[in-house]
Amino acid sequence: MFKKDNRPESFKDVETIIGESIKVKGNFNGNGNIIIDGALEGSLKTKGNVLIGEKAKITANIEAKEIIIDGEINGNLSVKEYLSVGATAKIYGDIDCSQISIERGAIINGKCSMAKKEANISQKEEQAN
Amino acid sequence: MNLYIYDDYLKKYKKTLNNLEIQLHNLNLNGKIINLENVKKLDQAIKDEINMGIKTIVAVGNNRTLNKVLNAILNNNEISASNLSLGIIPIGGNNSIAEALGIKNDIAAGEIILARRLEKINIAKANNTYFISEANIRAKGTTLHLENFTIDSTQSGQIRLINLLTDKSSSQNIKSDPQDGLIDLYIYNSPKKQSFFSIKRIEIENTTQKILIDNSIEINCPAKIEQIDQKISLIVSKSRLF
Repeated sequence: MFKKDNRPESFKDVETIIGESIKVKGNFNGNGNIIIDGALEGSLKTKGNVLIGEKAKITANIEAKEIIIDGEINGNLSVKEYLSVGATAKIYGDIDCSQISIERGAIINGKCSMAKKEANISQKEEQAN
Repeated sequence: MNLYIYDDYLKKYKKTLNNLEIQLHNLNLNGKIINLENVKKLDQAIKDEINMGIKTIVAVGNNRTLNKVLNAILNNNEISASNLSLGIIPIGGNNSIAEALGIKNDIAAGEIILARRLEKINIAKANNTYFISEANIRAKGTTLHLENFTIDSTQSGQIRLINLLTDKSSSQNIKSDPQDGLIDLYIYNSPKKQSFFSIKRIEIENTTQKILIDNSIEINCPAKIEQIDQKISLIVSKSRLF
């Protein structure tokens, strides 16, 4: 594992790094945090977080707890908790998440559903009543 | 009692060996000496000594010597590695494994063997050859097959499969634990282009390049590299790198 550097706090402990100069093809399953700066084709599932760098080229569906995206993805994103879409992000696919933030300049072409978030709010409202 | 296995290249280190033997005698670490140049079947020779009561085997030489001794132990089904301790007395160059274990030179090694601080570490295997530290191959032209995916490196650089990291001060900024049951796959193309995976097994393909294990032995591709379930007790010092 690489030593800690200036990555976001949720990526201090990284299980996998797909660097800029490599291409990963297939179905990648992980348990920890993953950083992608290179190319990925197939699918990616992890119980941890995914950081997609500005130079990343992804043709894959991704499932993760949190995703921070600054690169390009052709595929669907299924995010258990929080999706952060950066200004340089390009998403061509559907998004399913609980919380989202989108920076000016980001491109999103696809459906975005936040059913889990709505369900949580409804549950809280019901409990309050 | 200890068994000391001398590598055959040590002929040119007569004075060092004489001093070493005096030091070991003074520390009451006497033992049987086997010289690799006089032995045809090292595994059988080790097995015979184990039957005589040997429980500590010390490779006297370098990374290659330690690798030979490790393979002799593990390739003989009649030897139980779990009852053995393995040490190294480094003499000459190519001794990165000894350095990682905190054994800087032959003079320090005697005291370290006497102190007998043991650490169980994982063992990896490349095809039929066991290794302790790492396997290396050039990145360009290499395809890596993992359980459900493949990795291609598009640029030149180095692929390292690390069990025991021997260069902690390296600018490549790696951490690796030889006791976690995983091999650290590290692909270095440039300071800003680095990749990392924790794996159990992998298959390596390259039509032109060979894999170098323990910085000593060349293995042909395609090669299957995996961590085996067995561990080995190594004699280490306080200043080990893990």
